[in-house]
Amino acid sequence: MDVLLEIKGLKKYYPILGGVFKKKIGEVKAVDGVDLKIKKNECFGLVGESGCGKTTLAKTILRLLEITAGSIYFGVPEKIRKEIDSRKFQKLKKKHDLSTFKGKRLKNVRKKIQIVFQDPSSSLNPRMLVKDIVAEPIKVHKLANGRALRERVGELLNYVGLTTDHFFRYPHEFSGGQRQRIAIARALATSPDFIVLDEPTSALDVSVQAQILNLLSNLQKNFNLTYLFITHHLLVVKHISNRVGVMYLGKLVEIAFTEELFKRSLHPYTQALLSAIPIPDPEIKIKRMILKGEVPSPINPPSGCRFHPRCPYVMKKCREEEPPLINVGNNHYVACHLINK
Amino acid sequence: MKKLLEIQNLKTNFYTYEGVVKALDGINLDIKEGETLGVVGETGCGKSVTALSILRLILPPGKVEEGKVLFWGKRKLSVRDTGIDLLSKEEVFLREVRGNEISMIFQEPSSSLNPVYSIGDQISESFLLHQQKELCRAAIKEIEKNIKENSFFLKIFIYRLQKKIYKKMLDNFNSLGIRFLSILPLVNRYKIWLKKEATKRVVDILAKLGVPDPERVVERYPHELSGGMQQRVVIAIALACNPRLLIADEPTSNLDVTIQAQILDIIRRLKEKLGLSILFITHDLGVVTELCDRVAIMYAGNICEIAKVKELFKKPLHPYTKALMNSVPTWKRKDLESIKGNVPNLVNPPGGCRFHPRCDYALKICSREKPKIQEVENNHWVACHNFISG
Repeated sequence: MDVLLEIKGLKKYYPILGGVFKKKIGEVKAVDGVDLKIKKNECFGLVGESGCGKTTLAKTILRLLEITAGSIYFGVPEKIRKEIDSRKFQKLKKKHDLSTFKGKRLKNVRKKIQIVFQDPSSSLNPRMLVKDIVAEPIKVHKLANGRALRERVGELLNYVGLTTDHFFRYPHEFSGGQRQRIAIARALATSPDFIVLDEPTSALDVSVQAQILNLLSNLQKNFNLTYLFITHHLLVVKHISNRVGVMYLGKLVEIAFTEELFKRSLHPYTQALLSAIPIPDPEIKIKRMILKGEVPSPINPPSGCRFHPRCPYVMKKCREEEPPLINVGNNHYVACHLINK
Repeated sequence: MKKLLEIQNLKTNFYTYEGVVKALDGINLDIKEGETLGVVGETGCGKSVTALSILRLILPPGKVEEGKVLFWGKRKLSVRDTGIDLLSKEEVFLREVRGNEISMIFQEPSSSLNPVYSIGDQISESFLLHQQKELCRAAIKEIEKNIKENSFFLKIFIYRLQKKIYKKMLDNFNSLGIRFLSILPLVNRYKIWLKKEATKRVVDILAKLGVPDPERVVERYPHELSGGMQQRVVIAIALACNPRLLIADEPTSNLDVTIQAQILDIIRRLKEKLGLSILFITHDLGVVTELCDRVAIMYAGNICEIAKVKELFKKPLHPYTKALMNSVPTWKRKDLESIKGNVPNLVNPPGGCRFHPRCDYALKICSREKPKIQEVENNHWVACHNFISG
């Protein structure tokens, strides 16, 4: 299958200004070198705890934030990407790297990449009617107007299980689940290929979450969408994704197919995360791996492997050298000295 | 096992501009000594309102209309058989219960802690309110020890005076004379002993909760701590005076998975060590499995089902319980089933059983008559017409 989105060496640092002249005295290394390939029609799950950089990564893909280093290739065929790899043709790179796009080209790409945010109450403009909220992307990209626009909005609301009766209402008149549906309808408005979902169900109740997850699966099948599903809830990611990537303090530590990750997780952090999930089944007893300490600050990440202060299997090498992300077979990537001896 | 708390037919309403929200519609629950009861339900079902009603913390426009909350755990009183109805007692009585016999921890640790007071001050507030006599006695002992060790005449004189002040405080902690002394600039240095004692206890309880470097944490402010640490501080405040019952209102919902595991581990160890009874409110069935002995499922202000944890998962009876379990993603489940419809508006709830519009097993009687909760099997209670005999 084709690779739809490729991220290479993505870094996003936030500067910390201080002192009398507001000089840069440090940096928050939110995303510190991420390589990722997402295939067409795939649902890629990105998991990690708060502060690991998932939302920052999502925003940089959409150019809602400017990256500090690295490149993003969206919809670039493999042949061209290979040539850029070989360091020839810097011009080609400029032509295809999403992070350098400006003006009209950037606007065009934004038709194809959309996002659904975590909190449906704050991502919908409370002063706009539902019909205007969903119509806004269409109007911005001048895709339809007048009657055709109305019909398209009605169609989109139908896809997410709402009706034209909801046209003339405000977001506060809906429940959390329904607001999230409006946000999803808005994301589908420009017929995108790729949707980034930043914790879409975290603010919702369990039964509503089930409705939204089922809706998202159906939409993916019907419209051939590709998802980047970001969440901290591992069981949700297990349910909806094909492949999963685990992030810790700005870097990816493990990537694998979902089944593989849950059956044979290799990185100690992944194992700790999986063992920490409370299981709603009294018959299963899992030996908890309780991590000591807290997540360190991204301003001063630990030397070598970032997980080493909390790792139960830490070795001398881990403090000195950062482990690279290596394919250990069956497209299962791990960044750990213990595994990659 | 002896009963510790019993809620009988609790009804709470909120009088709003849009109408009367009938938040609780006759709740019946009981907690025995040493047991952990989980209350599971989704947003708006009334779990938090139940917890607040127990401690009489419902403020206007809310009002507890009916019902009794019987408590058997009050120290110094030997009303062992009938229990004391907390809803009918004066506020002064409730003040002694809150934080001392029944404590509560809330969902967001950052908003439960006062941002302008240090951690030490906030935890010792609990001691200073409820354990005044013990603190005074300990302070007196400390002063006496210092008198013996010291030989400087002036110091001994000052210590003797301070000891006199504490002896007066044993009788009446907040008498007019004491309050006057506490304002005078040099004289109020007597408070140092009290503070030292309180700090000692604070450090002790923080160490028990696994907080690293407790002596330094005592000086810190809440915003300097992470979420997991803040929640530990909140637990420390709640458990400072060794309450009989701890009400935990979704304490780990806002925390990361690994930190949640740490906090649940702490709560479990404390439960075993102190013989604590816990009313644990959550929407996460997984957490319930880990921590609770019995579970109550709530929907729209009513209790649907109460059973032991293993029994509930093996054989859920109420249609809402079954639907809820089928919508939770687990390790094995392939399909998630959602419940049709939406949570009802409690200003105009459905007649009869509040779940009937969304229920796959609804009978004709369900829309007319509200089912009473009945013990259908051994210690397994359901409120559903499908199971009510007769």
